[in-house]
Amino acid sequence: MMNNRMKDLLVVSIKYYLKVFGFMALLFIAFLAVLLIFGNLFDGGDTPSIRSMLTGFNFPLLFSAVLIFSQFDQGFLLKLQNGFARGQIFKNDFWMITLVTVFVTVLNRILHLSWLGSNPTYNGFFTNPLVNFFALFIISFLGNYLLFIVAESLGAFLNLFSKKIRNWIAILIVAGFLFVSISLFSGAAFGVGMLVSNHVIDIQMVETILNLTMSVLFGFNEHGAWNPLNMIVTMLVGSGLLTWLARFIIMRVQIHRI
Amino acid sequence: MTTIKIEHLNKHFHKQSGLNDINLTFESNQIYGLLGRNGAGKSTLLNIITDRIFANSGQVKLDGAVMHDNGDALSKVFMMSQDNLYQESTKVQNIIKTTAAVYDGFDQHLANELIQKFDVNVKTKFGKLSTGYHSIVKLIIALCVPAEVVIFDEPTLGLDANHRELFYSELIQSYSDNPRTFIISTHLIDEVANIVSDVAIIDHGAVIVSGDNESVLKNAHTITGPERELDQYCAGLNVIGSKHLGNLKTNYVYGPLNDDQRIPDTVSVESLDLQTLFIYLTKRKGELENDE
Repeated sequence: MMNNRMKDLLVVSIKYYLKVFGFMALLFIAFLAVLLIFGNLFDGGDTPSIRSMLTGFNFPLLFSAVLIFSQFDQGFLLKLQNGFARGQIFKNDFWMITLVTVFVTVLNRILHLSWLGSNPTYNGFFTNPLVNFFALFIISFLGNYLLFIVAESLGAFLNLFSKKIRNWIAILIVAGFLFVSISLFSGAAFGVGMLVSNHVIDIQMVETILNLTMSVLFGFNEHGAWNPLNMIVTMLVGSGLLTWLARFIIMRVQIHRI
Repeated sequence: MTTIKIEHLNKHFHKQSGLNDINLTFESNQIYGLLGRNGAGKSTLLNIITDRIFANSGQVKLDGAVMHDNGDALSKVFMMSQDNLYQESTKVQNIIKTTAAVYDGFDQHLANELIQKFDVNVKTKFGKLSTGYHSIVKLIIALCVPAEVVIFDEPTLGLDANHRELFYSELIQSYSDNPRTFIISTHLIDEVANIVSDVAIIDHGAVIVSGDNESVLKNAHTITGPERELDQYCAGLNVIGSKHLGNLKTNYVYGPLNDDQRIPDTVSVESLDLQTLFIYLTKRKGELENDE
């Protein structure tokens, strides 16, 4: 249950996010107005317009993720200054992230931005369009939530260290992520290629393994093709684990001499 | 009634000792002076009390409840710290507004009054303020929150003499209007000596003196006289420092005097002020010239 202070804090947080979103919306509208004036707003012909490039970029989702990540530091300090316990700080952040996720998901559904929510292969699994809509909404919601809780966990993780070390870690994380992903992908592709070319395994076996993995994760050929329920279960488990991780880290964050 | 009890608190930084087995009690409605030299461990202790950093062992309790991750207990303790935990890009008026929003009973009337007295431009961003005004904004907020325990960590950092005077008078006024526990951590002993009712002196991460101001000073003596008579009289007493001035010698003693022993006519015993007591209790070897 939320006590009065927690409710007050949530109101303060909502006001802050509304202020930032409002400011960004105004900037966005101003930008669109400029585009309208210069005539490159609407789609036409074979060349993609700036608008389609912007909407394809899923601006609200990425902006919210960056906002959640970057404001963790100051938000945490302010809440600590005002006598909130770490458990309460986590709860407040959790509710804020959920609210932002609902907001961004609704916005994305309106603007048809969600990569999963508008995926034609998931859309149409159920015969009832209403059930389809809800299944896609939940997938979209969980997808957005996953990204935001990763941003929160990362923001909290960096706060385990002093500001100086924090900057180095941020650089290392980005560089390390790119390096590991590229190495893993190219290494795996090379290894599998070698195995196939030496007739240790055949290409069909690789496809079967990949399909099985994908079917577990995303519901490809499980109980019918593109079953959204499998995807929802996968994302629910992932969200639960990451939410626990975020709480685990927040409970360990301390202030550093500034 | 709000009592903070610190039990066997230890804190180490990278194998260096920060606090060693601290045991202290802060009773309600008292003004405490937490005194110590730079780096003695005052801020570390206060940061642990307010759960901003963690202790390696030991605990802090508020009315018997452990304070760590205890929202109810933490909401009753407000700390004005040396560190700026407010967002630099936020205007002062918004910082005050946010604090008022999460503290039911925030004294907005007093805040407005203090803003005028200290001449704070509330439309300025916090990050643009000088060190002195950073302190002033934090002091105003600390005096206006309805917390039962208010901690000031080096409250007069960067403040000029006029503002320091104004702060102390507002502190006393606030206390008489609404008695609550104040803990003032400082190394400027003279300024708080007449304000605090209780003192705790920390040195090298350990509490070396604690108690009410009166009884601490009752045990602090300046004893002056010719060297031979003085040393005879002071034998067995806890002499914390000595000074030579011509043929006369002064011994600084902390502890009870020997009531059975008659004070020689050539020897005079006077009480010691808090600052001198502090200086001699916390002096390092070779720090005071002409002293032993």
